[in-house]
Amino acid sequence: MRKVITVPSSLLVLGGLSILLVAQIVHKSIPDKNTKGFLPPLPRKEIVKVSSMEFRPLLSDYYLVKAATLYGGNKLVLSPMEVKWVAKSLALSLALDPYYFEPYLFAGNVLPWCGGADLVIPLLKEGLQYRHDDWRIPFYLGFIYFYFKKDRIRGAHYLSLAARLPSAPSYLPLLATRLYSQAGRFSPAITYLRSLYRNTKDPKLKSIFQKRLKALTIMATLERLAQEYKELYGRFPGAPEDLAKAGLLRRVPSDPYGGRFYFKKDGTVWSTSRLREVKKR
Amino acid sequence: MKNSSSGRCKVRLGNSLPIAWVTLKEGIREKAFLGILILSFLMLLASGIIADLSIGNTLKVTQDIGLATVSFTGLLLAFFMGTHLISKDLDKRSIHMVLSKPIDRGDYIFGKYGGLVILVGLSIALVTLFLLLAVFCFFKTAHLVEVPQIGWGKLVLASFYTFLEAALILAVSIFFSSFSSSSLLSLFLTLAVYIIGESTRQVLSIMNGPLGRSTSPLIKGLASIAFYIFPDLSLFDIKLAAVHNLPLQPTYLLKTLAYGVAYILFLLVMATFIFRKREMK
Repeated sequence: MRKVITVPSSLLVLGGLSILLVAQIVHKSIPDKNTKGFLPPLPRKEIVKVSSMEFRPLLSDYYLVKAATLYGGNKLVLSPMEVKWVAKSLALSLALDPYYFEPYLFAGNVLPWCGGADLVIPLLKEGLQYRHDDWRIPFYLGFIYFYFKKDRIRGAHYLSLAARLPSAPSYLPLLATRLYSQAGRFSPAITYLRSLYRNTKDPKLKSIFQKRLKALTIMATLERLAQEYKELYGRFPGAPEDLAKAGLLRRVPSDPYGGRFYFKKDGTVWSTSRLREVKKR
Repeated sequence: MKNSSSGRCKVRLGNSLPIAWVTLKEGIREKAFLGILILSFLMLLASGIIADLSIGNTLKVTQDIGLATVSFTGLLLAFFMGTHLISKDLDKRSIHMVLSKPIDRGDYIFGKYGGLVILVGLSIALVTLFLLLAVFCFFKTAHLVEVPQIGWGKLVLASFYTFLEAALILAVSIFFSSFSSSSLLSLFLTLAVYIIGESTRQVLSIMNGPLGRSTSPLIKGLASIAFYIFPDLSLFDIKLAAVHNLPLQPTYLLKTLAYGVAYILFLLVMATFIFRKREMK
């Protein structure tokens, strides 16, 4: 009787072990999943917003972590496809929690360097609505426009936006005006500086703004006179001295920063000081 | 069997309280209750490790996971306990013992609901306490470049509104249990109400946007009807405001509280009405 019970049981155990062995052999023969380069498809923003229900902030964290781990896992290099994927992942993260700063930080500081400036700009612009007190978002936008898009006017516009916000660094107003001046747009720079001058109580800052205001007012006048000179002589002046010789200027103005004003070929004015204090030797 | 006292239609607190007490004790003894609590604490413990995967403000991630855990605990308890405990009484026929006493069926419904609400409330309070402890520990130990302001009061408030949401779902589950003999059917119906209640506002806002142009008027009409019939559970979700320490309008909070309480009372009155008409096998 004992023998009868043992044989089927042993057969059962042996059968089970054989199946396990076969499973292990099959398991060994399965090739490794080539996950490198595989980017899982991301859902639409609207679908995620509806389906995440009350767990939106948590899912927002998830999409940021996904983007950050792809960037970190790739040794800080992203292919164009990966840039698009990361931008979409960050867009999802922000659609779920638009107040979350870190996706803006990641978008503004990483993606433009990987060729994703155009993908980042809409994200940051949307962020201005939600984090309207945060100077860093317009600052990133200003930098991206200035450095990556070579658009100094928009760059200056966003930097001036950033400079108006609380806890913005003190160098931002001057940086914004320099960009405006480099773009040959003195009028917005002067208006902006005047408002800053009026609203500033700190005497040191007031004197800094006053100096910049003086330089920009001179440059705006010189540029206007250069146009008049062209109407008279058919060409732009080379230096402010030409304006004085033509009787358009009583005396040659000096740059408050210690440099010398000159005209570019297109008639725009700039200074050898580049609106920074020239150290006297 | 119909309750002899069903004609009197009076719900008395004195009768409801012992039922609430028994329900609370019964709920605490349930293995599912213990399992849900253990799972919640494990989630909170894991929050520190998960938060470390993120970049920048890891404390935000800890708070997100913590508040999601609070929601998770409340929802699971509301779904399972609400549908399970009444069906258990009906299946085991223990309801006959209760209703044979001079107790109105309304007392039974309100008593059951009271006991379950206390159970959910205590669990949420416990998980919230652990959430605050976890955030406090990470706040003291995390090395952050920029230390965020933690809205401690708003975290507690977010937990309270999660409790209110769970109390409403509990009322929904009691309402379905009042006429359904299957706990599984009640569970699915409650789940459907939860999904609709959480998503209709979002669906409507998407339909009113550019995507809505291609949506048929019938679907839009159905979504609008669903929005007014089903409870708007998205109102109780103030997690984003709590985590980002955003201002919360007192009128919003008070109106949401009133809306929640009114909806709960409506559902309990309806459940009482249906339960009184129900034939007991």
